[in-house]
Amino acid sequence: MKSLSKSILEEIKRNNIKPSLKWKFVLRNYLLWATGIIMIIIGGLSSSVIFYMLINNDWNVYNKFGTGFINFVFITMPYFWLIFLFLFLFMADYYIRNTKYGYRFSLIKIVLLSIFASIIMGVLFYSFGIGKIIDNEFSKRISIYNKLTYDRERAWMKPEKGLLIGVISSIDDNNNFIVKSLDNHNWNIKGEDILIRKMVDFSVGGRVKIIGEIKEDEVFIAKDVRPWIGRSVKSCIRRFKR
Amino acid sequence: MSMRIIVEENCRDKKDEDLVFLILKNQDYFLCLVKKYENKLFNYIRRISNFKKEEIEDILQDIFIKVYKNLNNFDQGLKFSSWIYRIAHNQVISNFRKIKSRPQLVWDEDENILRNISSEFSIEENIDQVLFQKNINNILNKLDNKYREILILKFLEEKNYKEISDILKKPMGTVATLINRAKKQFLVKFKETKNNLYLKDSSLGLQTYEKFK
Repeated sequence: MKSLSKSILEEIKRNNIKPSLKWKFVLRNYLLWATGIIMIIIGGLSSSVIFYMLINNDWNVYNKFGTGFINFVFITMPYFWLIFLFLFLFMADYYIRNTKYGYRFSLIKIVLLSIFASIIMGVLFYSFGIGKIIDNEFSKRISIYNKLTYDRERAWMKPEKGLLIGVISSIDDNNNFIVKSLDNHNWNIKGEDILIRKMVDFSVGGRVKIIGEIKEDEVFIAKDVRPWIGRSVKSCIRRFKR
Repeated sequence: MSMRIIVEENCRDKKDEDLVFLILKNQDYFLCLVKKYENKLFNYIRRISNFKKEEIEDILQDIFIKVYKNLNNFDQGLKFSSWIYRIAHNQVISNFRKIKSRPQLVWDEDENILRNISSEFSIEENIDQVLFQKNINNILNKLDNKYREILILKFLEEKNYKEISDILKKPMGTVATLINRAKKQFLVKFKETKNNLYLKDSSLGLQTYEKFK
């Protein structure tokens, strides 16, 4: 063993081996922290979209979907964003655990802390309207996004269950107008004192959701005309333009 | 007197952390660290790997070169010994990956250490202590790698929880859990070994065998 210590020192001298510079290690550690924090912020953005989608879900008419409340919750969960959130939280955990003393925190602690941080950030971002903006921008710019996310239009395309969605194509009066549904059927919308909600764009080209019942072929007796909100408006516009 | 001898004399009473500071100014001081740790790490590596002497020396060389290259990455938040053991642990794992099959070379342990461990495991009867001490390496070799190494660090290398946590880069809670599980697995394997031996050699006495059956 005596020769080992000497041979090591000789090897160091012979090959002119030098200790790596301190700033490289410091920079690596900062980069790991920064990446971990960025991942948590992206997680926060994902949760803001989740809040936005959940808050704007059709909770008050879930019984119209005929699925029961639990099924309705499962069907309308924003899975895409939940996967996105967990993916980024997983990456955040990975980076934080690889920082200099990251291993001293238990996995559970890091996971719970990062979930807590993204929920807080999610609430903040949501309150500034960022969840809505992200959802709209994704919907406009990424074609596959609408297929991956819960499709509110599809859920409302059930005239046999009293749900209809489409664009107003002509208006006689508030109780008599025509709506072109998403599957390109023209529906005569009739009714007595139809409730047309405040935010509804009640004009030709306006996008509406209607609750009522089928009377006969392509005649729909409406009770409640509702506005479209958030991403659904945007994605619907695109579909009709296609 | 050569520079090397001066350095060796100067570093005799120095703490590891101070030596790191000195090495960064004068690489000859590195000799002190190598000398201080070569035997300790040699024993640690042979315990966790069962590699041959020549293989261990090669690994040691790689470890010390890595230590030297990464000296600026050491900070006072850790004990130097934990840091160097961590590098050794990682190097052995990387060598395991290269050598795929794990060799089964059994080394003899120091008797004092063995006696301490048998008291730690509450092995009181003389006949059991002898059996325990004779077979400790065999039993350790039968354990899962994660349990084996943690027992070696705790009982053979005599590291505390904090040091093990820093060496293996695991939280202290996990270290405690692993040690408990490892002890349980160790005792199960010990009883299995003992039963096998009693079954093979009835001269050890049926009475003692029955007790553990």
